[in-house]
Amino acid sequence: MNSFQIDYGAEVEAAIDRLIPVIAGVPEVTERFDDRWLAVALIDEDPGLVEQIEQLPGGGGILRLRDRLLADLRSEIGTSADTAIAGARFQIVNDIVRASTDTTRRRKRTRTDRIDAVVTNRYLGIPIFLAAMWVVFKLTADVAGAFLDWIDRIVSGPVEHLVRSLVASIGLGGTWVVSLLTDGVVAGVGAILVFIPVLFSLFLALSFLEDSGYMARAAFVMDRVMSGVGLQGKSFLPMLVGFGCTVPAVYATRTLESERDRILTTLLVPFMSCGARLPVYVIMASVFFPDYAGLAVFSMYLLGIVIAIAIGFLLKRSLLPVTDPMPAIMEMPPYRLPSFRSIWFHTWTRTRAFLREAGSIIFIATIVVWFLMAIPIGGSGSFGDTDVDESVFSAVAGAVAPVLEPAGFGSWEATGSLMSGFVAKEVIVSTMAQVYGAESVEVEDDPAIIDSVAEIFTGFGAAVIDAVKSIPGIIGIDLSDDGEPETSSGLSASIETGFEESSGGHGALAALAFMVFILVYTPCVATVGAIRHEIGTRWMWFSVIGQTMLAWVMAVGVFQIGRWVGFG
Amino acid sequence: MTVLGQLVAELRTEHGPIRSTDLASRIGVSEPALDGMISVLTTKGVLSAPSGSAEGEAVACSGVACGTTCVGLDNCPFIADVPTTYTLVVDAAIPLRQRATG
Repeated sequence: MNSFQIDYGAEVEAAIDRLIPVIAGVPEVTERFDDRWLAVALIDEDPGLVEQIEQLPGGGGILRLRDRLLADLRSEIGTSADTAIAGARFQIVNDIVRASTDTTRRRKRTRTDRIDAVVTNRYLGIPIFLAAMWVVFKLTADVAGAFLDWIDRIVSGPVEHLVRSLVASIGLGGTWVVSLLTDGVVAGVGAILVFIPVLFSLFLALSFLEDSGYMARAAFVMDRVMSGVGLQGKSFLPMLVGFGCTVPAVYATRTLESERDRILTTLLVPFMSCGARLPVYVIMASVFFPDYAGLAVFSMYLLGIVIAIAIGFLLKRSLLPVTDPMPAIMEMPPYRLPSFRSIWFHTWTRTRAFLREAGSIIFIATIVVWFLMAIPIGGSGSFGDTDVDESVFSAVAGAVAPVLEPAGFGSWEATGSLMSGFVAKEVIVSTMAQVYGAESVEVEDDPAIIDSVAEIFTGFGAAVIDAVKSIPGIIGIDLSDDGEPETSSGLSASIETGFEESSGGHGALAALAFMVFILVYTPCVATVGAIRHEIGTRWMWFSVIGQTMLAWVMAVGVFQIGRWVGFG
Repeated sequence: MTVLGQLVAELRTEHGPIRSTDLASRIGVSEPALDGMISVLTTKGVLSAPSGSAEGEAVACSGVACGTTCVGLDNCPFIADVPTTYTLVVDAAIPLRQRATG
């Protein structure tokens, strides 16, 4: 068998040649190791060898010479000797492979290659990503939206009646406790639970995209966009996490090497619409843009990405002049057909996390809001029996409301909802249900239990039919019943009236400005804590104040420009 | 130039991410061979430790103040499965003059 010797290049070979005679002069070493092999291994900085050589007589001299040679090599070849040795070895392997394999036949393209050629194409990648997101939000807003009314009827019907009956059975009927539990807890937490189908379908769609391998391509495609405007490509990875929840997305910025990049990306992550904002978008879109609810929700997600890129572009050229994007290698997983079990696991754990929040922070927030609404200030009411517009809540929110008048939603109801949204974005929906719901109380006789149960089943059947009918709508085919448009009722009507009044008859425009405000201002206190933890108090305040000011500017801009051009 | 040098040289012409498949094709090696080279370059500190997937999760879900929904690293529901990414962290000069001769 022929042996061969790798040529590691002139500089490394010279170092090896200088080391070999010194090794050869130490018999305790030469009787254990081949001279050249040991010289190469020492230049290659084999960690296990150094300890062995150190313990042999004369070994210290060998290691001292090696250290000098390594220092000289680094200055001569501009990199570490071990990297140079690895490069030479890979070259030999590559030469052998090329010499022994038929490279004239092209490698057969796999299914993954063929799909990637389209979905990561420089020109098609972004439209395909947008189309995928469009389908996701049509699914969430239109298909899953069909179940909203069904759950709403269950919460405001049988559940509320059950609570009333239970309270009455322990002798507290007619007291403020009834209002606390029905107008506070059931209305507030119930308003969030109504959106479970929407969130479930969002998480389902995202899980499908992740498990199929497409999300990795989306990250790659968006990374190219980020790099195109001078941001670090890896910045989009935390942003992708931000579609679920902003808090882990903030922590995910640690994957960026440069501190400036980390600060910049941390400031941009909150512009990604987290799952908690979805219920607010859906309720506003279904009230004001019922025919275009999916488009309205999709627009908010898209706008968030655009704002993040624009703000990143500006900050990079002003406060945070970060380095040019560093080259990076991305490993794409192969496409695969997602398993039902995996998708169900991801979808359920995410939905469960949302439910857990509804049972903790939102529950507490609804009680706090109820108490603030129950305490009278002025007027003739008493605790638990006062008009909401004469409560502490309306007084505090009303003091801030004029600031939001130029945006078209300067009412105490909308302002109070936004203020409570600092706790968590879902709380906006529960607060809206409490403040607008309190103004549209419809006293109904308690239906018989059998009627309630029947309504649950018939309502579910109707929701399933509506959902199935809305599926073709994703590709523009309308199978919904023709006829008179549905009129708003209850909470929806109350929200619609409130926005029409506060905007001087431009309710839809004010609603759009409201959605933009929710998109841009600080996501929640947990995110603020995470930002402070990661990049410090100074940047935290920059983020909170900057986002709130930007939210105001954008909301006012949407409302005023929209009114000027005659929209809404 | 060694094939490892070609890898770094190709990478340095990029401004942002490149797919490992494309990079392997450009320097004329198979993807498993590229994996080996990436592994060596990561060990030598020329490429950053990978981010994304498991590594990204470990960083993202540190368990510190992760909102009210934090259920720990193993079950964090909001971590997206992002691609593993290696970044060129130093302006590495793999010896371009050297050429293995066998």
